[in-house]
Amino acid sequence: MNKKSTKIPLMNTSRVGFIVTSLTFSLIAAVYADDVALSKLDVKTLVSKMTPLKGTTPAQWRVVWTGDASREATISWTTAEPGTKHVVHYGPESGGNEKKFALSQTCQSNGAYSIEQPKPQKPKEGESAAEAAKRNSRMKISPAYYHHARVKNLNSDTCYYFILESDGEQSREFYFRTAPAEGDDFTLIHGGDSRSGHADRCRMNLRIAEQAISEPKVLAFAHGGDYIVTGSKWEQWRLWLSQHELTTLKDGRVLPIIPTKGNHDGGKNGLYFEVFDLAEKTERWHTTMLGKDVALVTLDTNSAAGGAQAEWLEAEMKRLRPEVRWLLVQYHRPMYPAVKGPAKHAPIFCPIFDKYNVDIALESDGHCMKRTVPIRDGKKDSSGIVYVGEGGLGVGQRKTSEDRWYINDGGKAGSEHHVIQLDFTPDKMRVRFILMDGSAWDDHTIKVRKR
Amino acid sequence: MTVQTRMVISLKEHPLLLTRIAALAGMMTVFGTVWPVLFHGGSAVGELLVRTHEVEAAGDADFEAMMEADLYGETGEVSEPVTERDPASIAEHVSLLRDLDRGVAILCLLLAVGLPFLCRKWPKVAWLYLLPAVWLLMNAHAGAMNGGKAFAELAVPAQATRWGMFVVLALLLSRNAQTDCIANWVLRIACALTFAIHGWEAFQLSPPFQDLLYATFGHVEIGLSESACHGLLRAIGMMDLLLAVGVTAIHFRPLLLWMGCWGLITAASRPIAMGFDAWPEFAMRLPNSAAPLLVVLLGMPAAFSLSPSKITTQQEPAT
Repeated sequence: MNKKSTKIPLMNTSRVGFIVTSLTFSLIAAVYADDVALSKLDVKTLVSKMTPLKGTTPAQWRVVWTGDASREATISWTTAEPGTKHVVHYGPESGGNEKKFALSQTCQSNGAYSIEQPKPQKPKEGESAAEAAKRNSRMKISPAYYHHARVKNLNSDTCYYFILESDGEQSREFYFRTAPAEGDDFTLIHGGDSRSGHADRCRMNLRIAEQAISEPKVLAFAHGGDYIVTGSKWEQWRLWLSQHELTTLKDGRVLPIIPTKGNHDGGKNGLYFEVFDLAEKTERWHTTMLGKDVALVTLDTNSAAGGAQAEWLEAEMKRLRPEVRWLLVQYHRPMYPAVKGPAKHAPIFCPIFDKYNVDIALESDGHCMKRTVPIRDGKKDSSGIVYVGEGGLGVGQRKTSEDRWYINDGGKAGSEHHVIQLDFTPDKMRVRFILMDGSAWDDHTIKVRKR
Repeated sequence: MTVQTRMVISLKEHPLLLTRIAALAGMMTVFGTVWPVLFHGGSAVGELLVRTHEVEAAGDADFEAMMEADLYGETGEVSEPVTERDPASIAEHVSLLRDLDRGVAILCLLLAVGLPFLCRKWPKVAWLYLLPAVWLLMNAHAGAMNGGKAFAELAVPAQATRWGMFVVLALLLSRNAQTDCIANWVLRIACALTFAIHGWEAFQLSPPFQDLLYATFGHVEIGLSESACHGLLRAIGMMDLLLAVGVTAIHFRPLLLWMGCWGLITAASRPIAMGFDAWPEFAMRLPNSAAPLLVVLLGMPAAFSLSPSKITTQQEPAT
């Protein structure tokens, strides 16, 4: 301390050097601290990062991709009150301080989430009716309202800036990047099973944001399903939606989500479809085109594999395979699991995957990490399909069965919270399992198939 | 000679047939249920216990309360701070639960295999058959609580033949007219519940049932259209519902024999559709076939009364 106080006033250059060095170290320390503290962030801090659901203040924002990701998107949010006018203002340039955007889109779909109120409890022993009523009123779940703006005719590979407005209440400015029209120089993040473990779910959401900060080529986030435990409960969906805000980058960048329905996401009230603006009868399975060269086919393992879904899959694969460089499939229940038994869909789906040379299958549900050997016709085959998964966005991890042939003979399995990062290039796809601390558990490369 | 008299002769010739079929079906159902516990993750009860512990250890309830208070303006009682347990201690506890789960499963398997022999020497230990019954019942209930499967909430009645088989075994091995009559009704009601729930699921076009049909027909290279599949499932559902009513209302041997055959066909459809690795699913469903056959062997009337029949009152030595 004495040294500093004597030396610094002597030379101006030293003083400048000291300040610059201090600032540099502070910056590095800040960045480093942000990174290492992820797994240690306390709950209060995590909750403070989310937007309260009050009045018509836009909260729980998300951008949903299910079609042509280079041309269209659905921008959605939630308000606590129904409101009357819900608009998204957007454009290829930032609205600046005046929040002026070139385009705007009134929400095409608004409504109240289908909330099942818990049954009122009977008065406890010695409790008056008034006290019981007061206790029951606490259990009442507040209503909430969804707003979906479907924006179309977007330019490819372009950052779109937007603000959400409900009855004059505006959000801060966000942006997302559309998929390139051609080429595949981008990264996709995949993860599943966030149904319990709120703190770790939040930390994994922050990890997703961190990945996008450290690797700006990250384009979107594909969720493999099982967002929550009971899909018919709004009180669980709203937690997930608020926590999903944490995947937003500090500069306002939103990673579009490509949703898959898990076995816990169902329910007669159809909340899953309300959250992601999907048509229950026609959009249980869908294809997201990430430009002309990458197609992500999303299947539904809650519906029958055969019949309509198999017919659609066969037709879609036949259409897509000659056109795209990378053909991906995602669904919830694994065909080659590392913990449980295989999905009953395997005898129907897998032959179609084999026939059309799918490049990678993204699975969830098992609550573990797994990369199989390439598999074709139920056997190890260098020309086969690699199945990766199986969900680690907060949910407790399970011990894997290491003795399964598709894992122990060149595959890999483990148990940690993780996301799967897919880096596309014209000639190869790099598949990395990224853990909560940012380290890679597995780094595997899949070469492009000859066409 | 009536059907029932022929049955009595049959039982006199094979006094152990009844209990042997029941014991074999029970043994197979436990074997099929234990297999995934040992090699595919755990039982439904184990899954429920692990999830409950993980959720508690992660402080999810407190986290939710804090979010409800801070974000949604609902006046929950917030207990601060939210404490998360050390991941290592959670893993240790989960490992203990998994071991306990496997231990209970192995104990039930040992009971299912060993009790037929022990009961020959000590007939009273037959009541130990109630332990696997309780274990299977708890698993069905836990399956309903875990959810995540089509019609999971109906697991307890849907699996009635499985856990009911062990109740029947305990009754049959301490045979007298009264227990035979009760066993008759336990079997009939268990059959009715299982067939009715499966019938309802089929009628509602349960996706797993659809896939069983698609995959089975696919093996014989018959492309089943969606409308044909739906029509077939609705017909099967109706048949199952009628069988469920029939087993409690009338004692008609061909109907019971068909129920036994149909139970075997539907159990076998799992490995046929999914391959031999799905044999535990076949094994655990064998009571769906065995239970109606046991009703045939018991030869007691289907009436809305628990009064013992005069036809099968012969005492059979406990096995």
